[in-house]
Amino acid sequence: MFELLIRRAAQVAASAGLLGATALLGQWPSGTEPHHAVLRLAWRLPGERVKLCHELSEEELARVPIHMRRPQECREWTLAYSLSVAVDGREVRTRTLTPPGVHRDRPLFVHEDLALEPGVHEVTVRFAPVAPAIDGALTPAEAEQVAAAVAAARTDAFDGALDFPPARVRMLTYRGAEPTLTVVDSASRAAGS
Amino acid sequence: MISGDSRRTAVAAAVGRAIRAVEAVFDRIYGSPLNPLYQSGVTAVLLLAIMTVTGLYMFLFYSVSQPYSAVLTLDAQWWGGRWIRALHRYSADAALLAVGFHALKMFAGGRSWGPRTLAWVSGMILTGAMLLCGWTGFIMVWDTQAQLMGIELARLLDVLPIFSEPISRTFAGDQPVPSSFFFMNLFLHVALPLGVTFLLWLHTSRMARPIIFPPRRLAIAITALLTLMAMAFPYPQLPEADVFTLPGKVPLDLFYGFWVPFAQRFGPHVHAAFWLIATALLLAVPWILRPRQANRRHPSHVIERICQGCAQCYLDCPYEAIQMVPREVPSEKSALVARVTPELCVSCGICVGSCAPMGVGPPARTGRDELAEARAFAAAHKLDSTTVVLFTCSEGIGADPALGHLDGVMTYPVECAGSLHTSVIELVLRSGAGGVFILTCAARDCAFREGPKWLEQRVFHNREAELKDRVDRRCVRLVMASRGERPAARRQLSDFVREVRGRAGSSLPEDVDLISDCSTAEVDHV
Repeated sequence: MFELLIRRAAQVAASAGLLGATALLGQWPSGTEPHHAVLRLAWRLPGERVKLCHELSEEELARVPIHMRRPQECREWTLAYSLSVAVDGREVRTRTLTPPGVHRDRPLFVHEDLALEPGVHEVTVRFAPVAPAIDGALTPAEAEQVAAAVAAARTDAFDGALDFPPARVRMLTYRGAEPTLTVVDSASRAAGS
Repeated sequence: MISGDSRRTAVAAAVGRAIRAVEAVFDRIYGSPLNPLYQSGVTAVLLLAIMTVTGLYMFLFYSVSQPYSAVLTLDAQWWGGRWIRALHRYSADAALLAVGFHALKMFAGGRSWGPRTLAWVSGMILTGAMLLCGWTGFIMVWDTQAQLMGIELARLLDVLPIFSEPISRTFAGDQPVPSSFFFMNLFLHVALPLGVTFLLWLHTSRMARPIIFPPRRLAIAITALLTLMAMAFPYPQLPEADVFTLPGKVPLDLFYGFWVPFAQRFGPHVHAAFWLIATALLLAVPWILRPRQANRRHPSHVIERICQGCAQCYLDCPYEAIQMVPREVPSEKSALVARVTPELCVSCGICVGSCAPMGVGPPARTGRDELAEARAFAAAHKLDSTTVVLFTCSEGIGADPALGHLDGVMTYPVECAGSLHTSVIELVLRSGAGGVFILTCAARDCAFREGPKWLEQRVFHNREAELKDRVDRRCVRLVMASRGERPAARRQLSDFVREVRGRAGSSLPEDVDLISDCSTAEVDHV
């Protein structure tokens, strides 16, 4: 009888221990309180395209099977963009964003998280198109056409002092239909939504 | 010089020793029939069933447009939703724990290669599906833990060059997390368990009579204990995820999110490499652990001229490795003859014990070979009416030399008691031994699934290849015990030795030829 009682007590204790360990490992305290803030750059830009076309001559058309003849032959590129970020006058990020996809024609996605000390920082962001590297020589007219397309492509910049509270994220993005980069955080998004 | 096989075996043996030590502790506490460690696989299935039932209840309240509010609503139901959600979570954690232990045990026991490759590989895929299902479940709650896991998983997925838009962008904050994202999570969380059901079938498809659930007492105990814990300690409600706030200290489920700190520290590429390498290694275990051809045990084969077509080996084989097929050479004995599929045979030898005429078994391990060995044993030892021959499973408790040190006990190790032909028991008694004590592994811890069960039926319940009626059953004792039950087994052995000494000895008719008695075949005797 006494042995049975001991055994039952051991069973209860072991079961409680097992369950307790399972519960503890299921909610293990992890991570530390962050003492930094984050500047997030996040936006999507549909491809800005450069297209060079030329009319086919009679001779060129004659070389092509009749069912494949088109009056124009075109080459097309989606522009890459350069992104540079400076905080308090110091460049913290520079990179060239190439359009993704097999044909390099998908929209560009910017998603950068930059850790900063909390406080007010002077933030400068430049986002500008890069002229495509084109194989072969261009005629002066074509070179002019490419330069014009690059110049007409969307270019963005942000200059301003931003306050970064600890453990918070402030984001630069395009908000709704606004054409320029805007600062968004949880408060402004809640107000906007 | 240590061969590759030895190194691999040494690793598995080290893991095996650790497992056996833990099992022995559990044996002492719960006893082998209720030791949950011997039921790890079926316990995982029970927990999956609990998750299905609790998940169905929670599904009624979930909303993909307001996931966090939906969970708050559930948690407000102190009488139901709160503990049902906790039970769902505790079951999920316990299921992964059970699966992990089950896999380790199979690894350590060398039960992962050859005919068991399908079970191992499908088991690994099952575990992957469980993890995936768990992750989608955590993200559905959309609290700070979900944010941690979601962001790291998205970064991981973005390493794969298959998505037209980065998944991480979902959590950037430039737009609210869409309800379609939560719908996809919900869909996966519901659809994956259906896949798990199929994988479970595949996992057990090479087993005869697969056991799906633990014994009723254990199932009730596990369910009741988890329910009590869920009621007493429901999971705390964490703050809602906010992509504009950096998560600080977050209670993390280490069963499903053990990788999160690693991923945060080393980034998505190292994280992806970790999963790739871990998955490849785990899936390759059957080929890594497989011994060289020369060291592998040979599959059983059937001596067709002896086979009587009784189909008992076909019925008893725990791995469905034996089929009954029409004879190529017609015989008066039967139209059908047993045939072993070598690719499915694990060489357990259980068919040896099930074949009355001793016509099946791995090479040099048939019933006839067992009888020859027993004759040699009897000739080498002085057996008298006070001697007890102890047949022990070398896979289990029988490996303990202390048991054989009892006065008047002679140990006779066998690979698996399930492969012991009953004629061997009779032969030992005929040779003068006063008793036979068979110590098998615990029924649910048999390395070959059904060894102790079939042996008990052959010895005491007249299952085909039975111990003949002329053998006095008082002279035979069968005990199923695990390592933690060693003291009890030793006590029972001592009691049996005393009983045998108190008897005048067994009375068996003289001069019975055990082989011809068991068989009608005209064959050469061993």
